[in-house]
Amino acid sequence: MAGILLVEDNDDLRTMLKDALEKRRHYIIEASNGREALSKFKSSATDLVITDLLMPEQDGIGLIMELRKVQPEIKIIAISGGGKIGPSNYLDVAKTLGADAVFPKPFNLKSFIEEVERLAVR
Amino acid sequence: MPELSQEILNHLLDNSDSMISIIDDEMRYVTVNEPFCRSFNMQRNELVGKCPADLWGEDTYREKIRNNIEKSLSGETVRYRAYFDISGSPGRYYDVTYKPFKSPGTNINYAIIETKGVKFEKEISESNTGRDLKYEYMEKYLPFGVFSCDRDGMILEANETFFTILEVGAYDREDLNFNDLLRTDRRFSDYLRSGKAGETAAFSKMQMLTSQGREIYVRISSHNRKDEQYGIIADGILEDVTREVLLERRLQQSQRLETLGTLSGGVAHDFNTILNTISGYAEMTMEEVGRGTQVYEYMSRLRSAVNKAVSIINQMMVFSKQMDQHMVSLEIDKIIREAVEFIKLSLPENVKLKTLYKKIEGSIHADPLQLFRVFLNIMTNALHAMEDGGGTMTISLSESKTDDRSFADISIADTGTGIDPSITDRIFEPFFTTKEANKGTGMGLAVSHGIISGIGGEINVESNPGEGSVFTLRIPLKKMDSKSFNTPDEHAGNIFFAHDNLHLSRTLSMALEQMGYRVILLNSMSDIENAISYQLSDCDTLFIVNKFADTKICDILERKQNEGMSFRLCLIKDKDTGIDKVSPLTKNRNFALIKEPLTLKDILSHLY
Repeated sequence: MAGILLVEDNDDLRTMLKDALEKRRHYIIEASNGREALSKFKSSATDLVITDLLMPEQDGIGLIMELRKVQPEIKIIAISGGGKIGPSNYLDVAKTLGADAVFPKPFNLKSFIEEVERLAVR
Repeated sequence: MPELSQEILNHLLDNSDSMISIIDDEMRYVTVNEPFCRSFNMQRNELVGKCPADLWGEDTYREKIRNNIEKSLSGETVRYRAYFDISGSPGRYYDVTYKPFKSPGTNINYAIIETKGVKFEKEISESNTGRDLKYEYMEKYLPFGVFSCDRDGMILEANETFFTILEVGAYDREDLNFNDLLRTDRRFSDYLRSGKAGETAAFSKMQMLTSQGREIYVRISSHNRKDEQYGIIADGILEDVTREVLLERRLQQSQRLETLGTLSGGVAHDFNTILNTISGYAEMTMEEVGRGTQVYEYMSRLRSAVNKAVSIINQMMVFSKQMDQHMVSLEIDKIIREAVEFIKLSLPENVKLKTLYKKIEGSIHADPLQLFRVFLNIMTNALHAMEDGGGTMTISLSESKTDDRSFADISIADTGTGIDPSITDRIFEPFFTTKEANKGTGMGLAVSHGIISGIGGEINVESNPGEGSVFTLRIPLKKMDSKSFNTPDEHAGNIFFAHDNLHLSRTLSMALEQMGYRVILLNSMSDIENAISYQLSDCDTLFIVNKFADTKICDILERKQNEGMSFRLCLIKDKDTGIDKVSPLTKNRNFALIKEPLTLKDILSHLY
């Protein structure tokens, strides 16, 4: 079992991922934007952060940079429905900034959960 | 020799603006007319009986007059142009005609001489002043067609520009009718028919056909006036505005595509998230019920429908330039040749293929797979257009230059059905198709447009129904330009980043630039060579991947270090090629080695 901070602004997708991960007996903390995620991260034991990149308030890229400052070793998975910052793809930016894994939406749930569990093992 | 009665002679003498004189066979003036007298400022009786030599001077008479009079008196008509000085007025050219005649009932031969000053263009404009000259000048040189026409559109009068704009040849100007040149736009014809005297009207963007059949747009402003002969006459000016209309249309089209791009980019992003929920629950359900059940089967069908949606969304993202292109430096002709080879495999027997490749200097920056897709797409459309009737597909490649940039121009032309003008503006829009249902998604050209504009290029089409279509692509060529470097100022430092992974380079440079560094990306050997040869003094830190650090580059770097230039050199190592371990470069205290995969952290730890 791992403590997972799940950051996604789309309620349906967040619920689906929560359902799937809870079924695997993980403890899920939900947040719908970067700012909310950061405050929840500081107040709870988290092994892994799953974050969407394009979100209102603080976006996922900003969140990753903040997280790396607060806790450099935290494992991060970035997910995104696509989009670009300047000429670069969001997910590539996330990866360069230190996301441990990236998944473009829509992703295969099975491989996603496998990656979550590989990274979240203490 | 013709006979001329006194009556006719008098008539000729009295009614001509030219100088007229009659000389008898003794070379004496028998009579002269009024203009002749005026020219010499003498009375007629003073002139009669004189010899031409008395008036024009002995030399002039001998050189230019005597022979001609003699010829004429013996029966010839003589015409010539010569320069004469008449005392008291400036010299000028005259057209002179000598005609022989006989006085009725006598045997005396005479020559009647008409002397007419030649008016040259310069003299004409000198002779005009003020308004006349101004209007004459305007009519002649301003880029407006000036015309008058009657109610039926018959051109009564027009200036040269008018005929030039409408491409009317010198022999076709008689019976030229406006209505024959107007296309479906009848506004001007209606105005001509129903207009009243004094009315003024303007017609913008009128579509016309030149007499060569070329489609143009004109602006006409016109005023109706009363005329005794024609009832009402319209005087107007006509201006060719084709270029403006086409530019405006292209701008509108690209704005529309931009809007559609933003829209479909947003839609695609949201849909990917929604589809993720759908496919996730489908997967969870499948796991719950297990293989072999009916529900499992239903869910797997639902998942495959999601996959189809994903592939359409991916195309929308390419169109909206939200999908990554894996850019590399490449030679355009290779991609075109590959696409042509590929299309040859499915070339129907009734279609001929012609290729015209010119040599291109420089390379383009693009994703080879995506570019291949664009060419294949347009070529396939061309083949479809010739499916029934056959024809020729012509593919050409050439280079063009503007002041400071050069481009690769590719054209793909077919002789097929062509595109209806009413839809030409829309063919690059997503989901726009003329094909039957299930024969195309309508994304092909939208995707092509996204790819080409994503690399800074342009894609356009010209088509005539029944004649075929020409797609033209213009892609910027990359040439190292030292002017692209900025002079450094107060900031964190200048970084030269030489790496072949452009994705990585761009991402890192974005992050570094946010931190205040100035980053110059170098992604080809020639770029690197130029930069380190001429711009190295602007560089604080050079990151270079070892495949780029060949002997030549290392030699230049060594030389620069020996010259006392100080810069930090970071070698990014992916495999054991490139820089030699024993190279003096590696011994320098400013040298560092970084291993792939490269991260921002690695870079930052090696910056001053």
